[in-house]
Amino acid sequence: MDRRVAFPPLGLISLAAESYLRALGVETVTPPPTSRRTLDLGVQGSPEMVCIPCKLLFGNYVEAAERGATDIVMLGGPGTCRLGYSVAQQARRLREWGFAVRTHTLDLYHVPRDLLRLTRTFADGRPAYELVEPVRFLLGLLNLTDELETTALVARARERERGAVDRAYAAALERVAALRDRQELKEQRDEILGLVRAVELDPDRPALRVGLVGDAYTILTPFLNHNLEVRLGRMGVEVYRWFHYTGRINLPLLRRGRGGRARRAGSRYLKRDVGGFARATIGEAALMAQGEVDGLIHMAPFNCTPETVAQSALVALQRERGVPVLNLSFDEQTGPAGVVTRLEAFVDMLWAARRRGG
Amino acid sequence: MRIGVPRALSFYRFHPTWAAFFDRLGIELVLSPPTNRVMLEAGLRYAVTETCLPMKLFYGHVRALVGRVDQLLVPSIRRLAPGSSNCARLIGLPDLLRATMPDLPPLIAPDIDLSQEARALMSLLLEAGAPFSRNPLTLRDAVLAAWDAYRATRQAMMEGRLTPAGFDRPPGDLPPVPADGLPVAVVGHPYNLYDPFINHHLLARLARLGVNALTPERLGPQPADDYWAFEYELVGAARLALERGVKGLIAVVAFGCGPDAILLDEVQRLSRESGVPLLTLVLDEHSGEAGLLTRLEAFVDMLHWRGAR
Repeated sequence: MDRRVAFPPLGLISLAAESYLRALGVETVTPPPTSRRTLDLGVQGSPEMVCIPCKLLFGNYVEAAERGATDIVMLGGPGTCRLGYSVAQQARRLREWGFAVRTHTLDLYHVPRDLLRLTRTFADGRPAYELVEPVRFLLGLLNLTDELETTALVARARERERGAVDRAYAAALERVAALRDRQELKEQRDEILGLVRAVELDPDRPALRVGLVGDAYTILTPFLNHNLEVRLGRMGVEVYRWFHYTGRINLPLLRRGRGGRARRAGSRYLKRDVGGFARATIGEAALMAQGEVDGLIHMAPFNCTPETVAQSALVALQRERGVPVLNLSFDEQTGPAGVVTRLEAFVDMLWAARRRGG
Repeated sequence: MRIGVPRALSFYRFHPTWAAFFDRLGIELVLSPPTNRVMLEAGLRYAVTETCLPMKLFYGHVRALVGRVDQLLVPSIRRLAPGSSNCARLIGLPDLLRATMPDLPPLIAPDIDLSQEARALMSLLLEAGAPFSRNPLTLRDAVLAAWDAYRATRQAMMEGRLTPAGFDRPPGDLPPVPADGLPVAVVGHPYNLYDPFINHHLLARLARLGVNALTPERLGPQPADDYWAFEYELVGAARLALERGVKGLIAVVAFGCGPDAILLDEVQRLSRESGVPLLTLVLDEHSGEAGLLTRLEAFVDMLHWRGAR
């Protein structure tokens, strides 16, 4: 069957997903990065009151279809949040708009299961043993991208030459995108990581540590958050993101590791799973609040239902542990100036708190 | 022992069930007063700004009970059918409350998950009642009374003898709906339809305009295979009402409601496909009475005009 599969742009997950699909022998289509046009399309094709990730994702799907995708992987799944329901609406609207595409749901609550299901669909009857290598390749890729990103998020705070980390990081990503199989990944992994690690840093420069918690889509979409991670880095802040690409896949295996500890730490503030990333985010926030960071930034799309619950739970965390929390919510009206002003004020406040010995 | 029940959210769905249950256990339920402006202000102090108006009112009702009761009844409604989902705020309600208010009395917070049908309801009630009675026969009695009350309420609402507005009033004390008036479906969640404060006396106004407002609980049995727990109250009810030949649709939703943001799209589709006009009312703490009244009158006039043509 003639397939051209597209995955919505979502941080480095899309990069890994596309490499994986190519390793399976599936042709892929890369949708353009999320932009103003994506937003306009999304707003046109979505209910007015729905959250901005829903709108942007629809725009991403349209742009993928315009570039000739025949199969689109959509994010959603029952129980996740509004996305669980809106994927059906979005699929229908794509057809109403005249795109003859097949749509596939990747359930964010069952990533390992759906990964296998989609692999079997796209691999078109290839025997299972031929799929083992590509799956291992994917896991390796996710692991590498996690490591790259974590390194860059911390290194920016101390770079001697402004923009050096970003340049090295972009070069590293190009190398990652060119990897074709696990053999190449193994050979080049250290070299690729070395690109970012080799950036000259100033070890004596003091840096703040800030944890990013909240909705993963918002954290992973620079267009939506006005490049928040890079801005923080340039303000001399080491950024620690709660979300890791490998986390969703390894989730069941991590019960004993950090994932399990986060779950226990967070259950004091949010016992029930309310959908989205709320419980995971509160768990991570509770762990980070135990002295790992100077402050937390909670990022969510305006009116995200699970994240408004998380926001309330953070109120209790703030009260009990005294960790400063900045709440930022993003929608199509959010401008960069407002975000920057609040970030600067928050960073100033964290420095003041550190000087007081807080 | 006095248990407080906030007159908000699940009150409008399950109150007779809980009332019958605790009545058998000899426990007094204390209801918060009907919503007023002061309660809204009290709620706003605790709610995160982005949440919906019904949640903010819920906080206000809780504040009206704190200090007056020994415990608070705040169920978490997880799902009503297998494979379905519910609003994050309704699932996390007890957690939300504990996180935002440090001075709460202990909560009675059963997790309502009806995906295993009646048996789950039984065990849920047994669990909720366990702290109040050691006698299994009393408990069993209370559970059966609750179950009877649940079914009787459903039946009475289907027949138009009862609406959630009458849950704490003697029967027959309901404002009359003009049964031979212009049939218009008024769809939405019961806490949006039956709290006159939140919707500026919408139902009374409609009655005065000669509209026979067909609300979800009058329209038919609730199908169990929806995605959202309370999807029926918007989409299913609109569909049933259109089958009955209503002349207009009024959808009442709260600004910032997660599920409704998407479900409204389905109601709009139904209206488009059937050619029956739709009026959407979005509620928040800033909506004014005059604007609502003007839109209602214009809508009803338009329906009459279409009928005469």
